[in-house]
Amino acid sequence: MKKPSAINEKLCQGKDVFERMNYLYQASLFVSSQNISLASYYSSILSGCAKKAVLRIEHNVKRSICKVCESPLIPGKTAKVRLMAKKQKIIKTICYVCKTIKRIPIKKKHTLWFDQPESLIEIFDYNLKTETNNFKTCNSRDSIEIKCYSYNWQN
Amino acid sequence: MENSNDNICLPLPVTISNWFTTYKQREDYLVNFLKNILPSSDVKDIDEELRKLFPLTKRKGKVTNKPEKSSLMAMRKCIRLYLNQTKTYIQYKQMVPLNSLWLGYMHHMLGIKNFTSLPMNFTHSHWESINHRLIKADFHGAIITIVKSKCPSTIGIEGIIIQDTKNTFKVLGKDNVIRVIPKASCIFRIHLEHNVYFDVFGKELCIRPTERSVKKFKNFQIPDL
Ligand SMILES: [Zn+2]
Repeated sequence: MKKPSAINEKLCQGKDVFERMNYLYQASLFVSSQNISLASYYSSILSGCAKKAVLRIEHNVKRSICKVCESPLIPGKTAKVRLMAKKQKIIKTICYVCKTIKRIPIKKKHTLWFDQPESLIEIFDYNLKTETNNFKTCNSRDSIEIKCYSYNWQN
Repeated sequence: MENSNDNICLPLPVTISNWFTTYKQREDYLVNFLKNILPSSDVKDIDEELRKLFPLTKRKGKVTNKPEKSSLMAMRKCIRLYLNQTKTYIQYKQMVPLNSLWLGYMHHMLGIKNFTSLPMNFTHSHWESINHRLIKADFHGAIITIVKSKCPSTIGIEGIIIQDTKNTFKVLGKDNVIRVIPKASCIFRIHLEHNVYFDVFGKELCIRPTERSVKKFKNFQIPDL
């Protein structure tokens, strides 16, 4: 008889890389208050890991990283957030480091595939009894992909 | 003397200047020569054939300005260079929380609640799998000391790893100084808890941090130091 954790590990491919990416994201958020270049270095390793292991970065994480300088975008600290409503409704974030503008359009009845309830198939629990850490498996088109879902970083 | 000076400024006599040929004259001569010799059917193609460029011709074609490399990369490089300049702005005290964050990550990574339950000998059943996980882990934020080294002045340096490149570690010491330490010639001691640590041969860590999570490792490597 196998332990449940051993079975889970086989199902969730690239679990260690996800954990590493999770840690790097938290580290880059933490460091951003002290040294912005170190923060951008950590998140560039995050995206490098995702590229090497062919895994996708969770969309909320991806949207909170500047696409040019790769520093984390924290509203008020490293980024300016504005709502625009000409022609199309847009959330506009401006990076303070490199002044790039990131625009995300919004529609009223549109939700991302990852936010829809039918995308979720199974949840693996990798708890160490005290902490929470969830991994979510999603079915998108015909391939199965797994995304890192946990973010419990306290200031 | 005056005469010779005047001679320099004078144009060359016609008899001498006839000897010289310019590039255009030679080209015209060639075209005329070809037109005379070739059969009438091929005369049309002379211009096209001459325009073609060959790999070793002295004349180069029009140099088209290549579009500059994406400014994104230049921007990133600027910020990365910044890291070397701002040495004194990172303080050891401020980076201590990063180490506790790293410890939490290692708990998850190894799947162990207490570090004291780590296997001590290679006879343990989990020895190999844990070794495998350790070498794939991320070392940003770990506290290390250098136990042995080929370079005696680096022995005993202690600090938090800030940057991890292919051949070096950048270590922030307690005196807020960043030191660059070559990996290949050192043995590192990585501290996990109060009395728990493990020693690593630096040579096995000589991989780029992004490639480390994907690369497959051999089980047995002969350490040479
Ligand atoms: Zn930016």
